[in-house]
Amino acid sequence: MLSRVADSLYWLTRNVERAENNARLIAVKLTSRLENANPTEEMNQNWYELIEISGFQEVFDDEYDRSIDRNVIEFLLFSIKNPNSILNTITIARENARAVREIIPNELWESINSFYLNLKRQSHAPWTMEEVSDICEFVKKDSLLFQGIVEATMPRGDAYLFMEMGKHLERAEKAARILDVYYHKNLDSYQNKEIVEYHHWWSVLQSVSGHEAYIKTYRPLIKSRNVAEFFILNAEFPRSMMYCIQKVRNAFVALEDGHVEHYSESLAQELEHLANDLYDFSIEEILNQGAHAFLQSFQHRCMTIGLHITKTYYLGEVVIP
Amino acid sequence: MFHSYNVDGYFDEMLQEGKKPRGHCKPFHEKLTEVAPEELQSRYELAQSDFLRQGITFTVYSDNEGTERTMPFDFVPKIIPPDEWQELERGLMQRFDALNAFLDDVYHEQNILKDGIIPRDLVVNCQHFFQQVAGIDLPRRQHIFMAGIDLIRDDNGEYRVLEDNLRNPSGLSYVFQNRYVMRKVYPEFFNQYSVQSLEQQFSYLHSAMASLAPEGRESPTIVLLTPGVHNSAYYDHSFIAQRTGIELVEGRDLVVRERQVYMKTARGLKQVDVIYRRIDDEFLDPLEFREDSLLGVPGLIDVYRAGNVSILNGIGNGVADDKAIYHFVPDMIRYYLKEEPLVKNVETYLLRYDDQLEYVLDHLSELVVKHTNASGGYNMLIGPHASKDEIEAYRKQILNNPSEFIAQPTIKLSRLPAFKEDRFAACHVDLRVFIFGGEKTHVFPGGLTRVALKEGSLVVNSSQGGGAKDTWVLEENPVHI
Repeated sequence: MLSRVADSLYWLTRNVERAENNARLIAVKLTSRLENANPTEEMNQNWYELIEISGFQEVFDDEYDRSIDRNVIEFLLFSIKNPNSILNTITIARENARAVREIIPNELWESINSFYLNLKRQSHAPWTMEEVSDICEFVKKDSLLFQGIVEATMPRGDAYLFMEMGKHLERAEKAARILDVYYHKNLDSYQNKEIVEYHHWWSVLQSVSGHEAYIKTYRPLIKSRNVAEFFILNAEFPRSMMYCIQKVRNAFVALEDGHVEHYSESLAQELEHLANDLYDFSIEEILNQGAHAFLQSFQHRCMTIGLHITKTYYLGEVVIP
Repeated sequence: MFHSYNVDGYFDEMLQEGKKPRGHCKPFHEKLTEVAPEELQSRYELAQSDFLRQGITFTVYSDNEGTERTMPFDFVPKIIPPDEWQELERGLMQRFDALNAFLDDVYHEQNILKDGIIPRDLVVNCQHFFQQVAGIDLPRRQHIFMAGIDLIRDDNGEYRVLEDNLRNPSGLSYVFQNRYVMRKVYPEFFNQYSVQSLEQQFSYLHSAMASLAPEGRESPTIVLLTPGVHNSAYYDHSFIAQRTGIELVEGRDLVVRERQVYMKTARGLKQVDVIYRRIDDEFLDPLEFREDSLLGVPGLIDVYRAGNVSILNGIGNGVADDKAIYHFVPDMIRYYLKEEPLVKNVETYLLRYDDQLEYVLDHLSELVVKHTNASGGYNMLIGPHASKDEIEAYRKQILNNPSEFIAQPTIKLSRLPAFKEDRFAACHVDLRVFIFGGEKTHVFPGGLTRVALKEGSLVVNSSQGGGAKDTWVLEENPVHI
């Protein structure tokens, strides 16, 4: 397979995953806004968290007034200035798909193309706050349809495996980012701390669609320790960091037929170390070293793995000596 | 629906005088009049949205923002009876073989120039004649892998060649998409017809490419070289690559090492044997042609010269589809094949000759004049449709350098009905037929029928308001299922 093709496939699924995560985050914020009766100022702080998760605070601060929640939504959904806006990520995903449309099933191309066309139409139409939840819903559905077509129609060869790596690496990184932003938020100042905390963690779980699975494991006792354990170490939940890293590793092993060659050594090591760490640590050990430090380091290691994937398979504009 | 339809003055391919359908069009015409106009309209919209969903679009730029448009599809097909097609097919293969022989000759012995059949300066001064590739022996001496020959029918219904495209003719994917959409949206229109299938063509196409590999390369690695996703014909490239099962590559995916071409794969370099390129000659190799080209592969021509890679279509083919050389194609057929041409040219005046120049300047308002280096329907004068000022401006252009112009009588292009919401209108059509060479010369049944949807317009190019139709070649012995 051409390196350029592998690159497009890897970024195709990464970008679709990114769009879906953004939609989930916005959708959860919308409902928690309805359920919480907090003062306005607090609400705006809440919305701003989404900008922090997106990682583009500076761009946002330069362009928008942060005290207006509509601005946050506009920025996350449609802004051209935000490289990770849903419209931008789906535009990139579609360009990636177009560049490999002879490789992927036609149904998959049609789904991502329609996804883009719908979104583009939405971005031109005036939208109200009431419609945002519908827009998020359609983004989630189209992303799920996309993934469903991949699962149902693609042979499990190199193309599929590169897509797997992209999707799960993105998902792992995003899970860490979400948990990080929410985890170090100080809720002590609230009078009704218990209720606020409950809502807080409930939304965090919802944003990865993990609230139902969480209850099955921990019963409806929402504790930060348990949420962290669920997010980081659950081996069965498909959006936990542990699960996603395992998936990236499996895809790598399948791609290399179980061998480690000279060229793939550093990638193999990075993956193995990270997977082992997740396996070896208990949640207490992680929290003792500091959740923030751990999650930061995890995100960093995901980035390193991404770089190693790029180098190992000559993705992007890599010059072959 | 046919109430205001006009069959006067032009050859109509479906209706004869008195609006009576021609024999082979009768069942279709009957079906057409049975379906309600609203039904036709909603199906028409369905067909367009299908093209959009498939992303078969070209981009129109306005206000800095590109809008994606689909090429309008008209569902009234061009229907070709079997005997008419067989004759045409023979004529096109003949032309294809003569053009190929001409290319091999002008890049080797140049006998046709020595024998004075074609003026030498016309060939060697042509901007598409490349001395760089003279003397290279191509596998099977095949310079033309794929040709797209544009045909029109004159007012007697006789087919004539308007243009030979021997470099990068595009549109093959549309032939297939038009058929898919037609089958999907208008299935019952096929009921009483047995139409030649297009499906097995891709295996022929693949064997043709493989047969043109450098000698000794068993099961060659074949790639299609595209300028990339932003090229207007990108869909064509990706479709052909997918259906023939070859790799779609860009210039940056290829690299030359030790006089071999390789592609950069996720597991290192892999040797490439055949390149079906859809990049123009000038952009192929910055070391030999345009230095500023980012689309090509440095060193590629050297590998070609060494015989280590096949490039299809051959480099320098443009000299054979030049608008002035066109005038001599019938002579090529007589010279190389010792046969009379089966499909005629459109009469052409070469303005390099004083007597023809004089005649043309006297009759500008009746003629079509074309610049030999322009394509896509640009920079041409359609005398009967032009204003006095336009004619005078063009006259000045001609006099600046007469040898760069040719002129042809205004052909009364044949017409076919096209759907216009509440009625049918007679619109002008032409036909691009695709022919490919390899072990043997092969013609795709049918081709791309282009239609000038602006009523009265003679310009069928999609950039200027043209659309497409499905093209049916009928089976000689219909298979009844």
